[in-house]
Amino acid sequence: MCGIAGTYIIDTGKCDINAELTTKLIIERLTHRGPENCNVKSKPSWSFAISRLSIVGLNCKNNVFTAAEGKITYVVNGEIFNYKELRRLLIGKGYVFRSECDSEVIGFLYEEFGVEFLHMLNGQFAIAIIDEIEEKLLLIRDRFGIVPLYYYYDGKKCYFSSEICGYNELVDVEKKFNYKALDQLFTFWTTIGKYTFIRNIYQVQPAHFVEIGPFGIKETKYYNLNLCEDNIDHDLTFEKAKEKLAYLLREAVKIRLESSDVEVGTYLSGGVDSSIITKICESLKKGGLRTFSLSFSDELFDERRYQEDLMRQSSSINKIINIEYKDIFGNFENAVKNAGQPIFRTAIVPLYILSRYVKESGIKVVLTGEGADEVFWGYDIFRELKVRKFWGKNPSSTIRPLLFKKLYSQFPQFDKQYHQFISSFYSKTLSCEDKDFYSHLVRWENNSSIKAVLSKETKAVLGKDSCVEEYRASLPKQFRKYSDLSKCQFVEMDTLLQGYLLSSQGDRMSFANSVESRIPFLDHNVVEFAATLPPEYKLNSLRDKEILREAFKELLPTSIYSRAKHAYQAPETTAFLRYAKGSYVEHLLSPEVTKEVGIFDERRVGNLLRIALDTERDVKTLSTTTNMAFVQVLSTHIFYSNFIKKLL
Amino acid sequence: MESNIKDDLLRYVYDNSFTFDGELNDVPFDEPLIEMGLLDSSGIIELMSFIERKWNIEISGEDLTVGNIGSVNQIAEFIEQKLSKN
Repeated sequence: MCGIAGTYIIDTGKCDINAELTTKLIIERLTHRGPENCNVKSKPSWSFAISRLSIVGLNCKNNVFTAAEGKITYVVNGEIFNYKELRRLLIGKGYVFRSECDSEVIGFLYEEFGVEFLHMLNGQFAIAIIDEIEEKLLLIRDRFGIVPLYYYYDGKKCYFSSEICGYNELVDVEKKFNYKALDQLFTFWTTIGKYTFIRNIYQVQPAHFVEIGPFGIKETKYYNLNLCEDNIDHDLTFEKAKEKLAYLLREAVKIRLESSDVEVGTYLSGGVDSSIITKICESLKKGGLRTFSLSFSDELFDERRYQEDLMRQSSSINKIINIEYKDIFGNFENAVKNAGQPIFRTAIVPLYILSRYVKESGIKVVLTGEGADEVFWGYDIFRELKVRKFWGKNPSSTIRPLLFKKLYSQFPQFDKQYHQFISSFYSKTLSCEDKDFYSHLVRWENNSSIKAVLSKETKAVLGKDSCVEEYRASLPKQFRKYSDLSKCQFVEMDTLLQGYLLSSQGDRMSFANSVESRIPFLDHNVVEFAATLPPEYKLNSLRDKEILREAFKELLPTSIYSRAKHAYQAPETTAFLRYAKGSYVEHLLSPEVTKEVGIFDERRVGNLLRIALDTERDVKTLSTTTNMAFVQVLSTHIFYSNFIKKLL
Repeated sequence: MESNIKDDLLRYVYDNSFTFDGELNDVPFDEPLIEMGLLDSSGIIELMSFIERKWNIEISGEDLTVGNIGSVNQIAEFIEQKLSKN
């Protein structure tokens, strides 16, 4: 994959920007995405640039391609996994290719089929096309939002960039903090829709293309995943479904291994999903697979035991990187800077460290298990929804809430009698009548309660507008035809998956160190097949990802096959407690900085700092809301200092 | 004695709950802290640790009931009982 950048001036008579110079300022900030070579192609009204990480077509030196006798120019960030098949199709139609690069198919496909070609792609991509026949710029993103693309548009010109940091040197792009995005972070754990933390910079949304030209700007969604109940194939037996899933996932892995002229490794967490991907890779590569894992000195987060179980039945070579508190503390600032937005968890940091090691090992591409928990209903939120629905049918039952014990067993605080408190907490949620967001509203209301840390001024700016209602208004028409569990899947994919897991924690952490991650579970053939499965094939009673576990049972050690879902997380505030004094943490949470930034309430930030500096504290006792408040406030100040105004 | 315990608990909620959106005088005496969202369920451990440190008492798993760890008044009563047994 790569970094792409560009400038498009709608009317050169009314805009005196130097397109090439501006584009170079953007692409220079993206070299971590493509450290190997950089190409720029310009005309007075536009300029495109690509900074390349060579994975397919290693000898291809110029990656700003043209089609339609030079009237169409394009750059592609990402991979078109089915490019060989598309290439054959285009050669059959008389097109002549000049390179072995997968992305060259894009221009010819666009020339031949118009934007309809997007439905033919199997890949992860962000594409920019200058169409001088129709006088427009097209910005396109893949179906689920694996590859990023941002744009700035003011009616006269557009600047696009693979990452937010591309705009850092552009003085004519005013960097104003987007309070609306902060409101979204403190509700959904991520921004929604097209918003970013800089007011006039937007993301091209997943499955969308944006057209910009003399006509203005137009945003179109080109793909909808069908999660309607009438799409379910009730005649499909479990046995047949297992067979088909095994075939589709194997094909998804295979195409991702084959679309590479360099070595491909895997990330192995020790969970069901990454273990399946690793084992399929092993069977396809026939030896020599290198895998990479994280372990934690804090046992609460450690999964080493499962990684070792898999390795005992494996021909792969696994490298485990151990994470201590000081690693989280020491890398947090840079990880947030690379994420390009504030975050709610520290879990991005170990992945930032891991990709550095992967790069040092000489590997540019890894396959990961991301996406399976959304597509096959693995997260606790699906099971929690089921328990709440079940309990809600008989709210006076004292037996039904005991099922919560099954959900939170990995956390020691839920041992003993803590389930009483969980039940007490959830009892108030049973009366929730929100048909759209029954699954998520409890989480969002809890998250929102941490807005108590915002300053009076921030609260005044936000006013009474509700980001939940704004999100509701953006839902697709067919959403109301989904079951509660499918609504839950849609919301998970639309918010946390694209806005955090694939971006802050995914693409941005791997590309910080020039590593591309590929995601077989988000192959659209796999995702679409999963949407046709009867619900109990995914969540059987309270057993998550039933069909995945059963389809690949033979490949997995028993300990992993029967393992309950373990959410990947990392130590939060506890990781900072012994190191905060005299560090960037003490500076960024100081009264002076808090006052200067003005986003948060000084007294409450003072309390967060007091907690961080309390060396006497038992490090295991901090609550979830304290941790979230700490990470959100600290990362917002880091973001502010790097993207809005330097905090000296 | 009891009012000091309550004052200390109110102060604790005021300083350690990042979901409490009000002033010290607004911290409720009679409302259950978890149901009100002023403490999350994992915050109980943080609160227990504070109580153990502050009043030098030991809290067992059996002590953790919704009746004992409910409102500020209930928690204060629970601490009183523990202290009287010491």
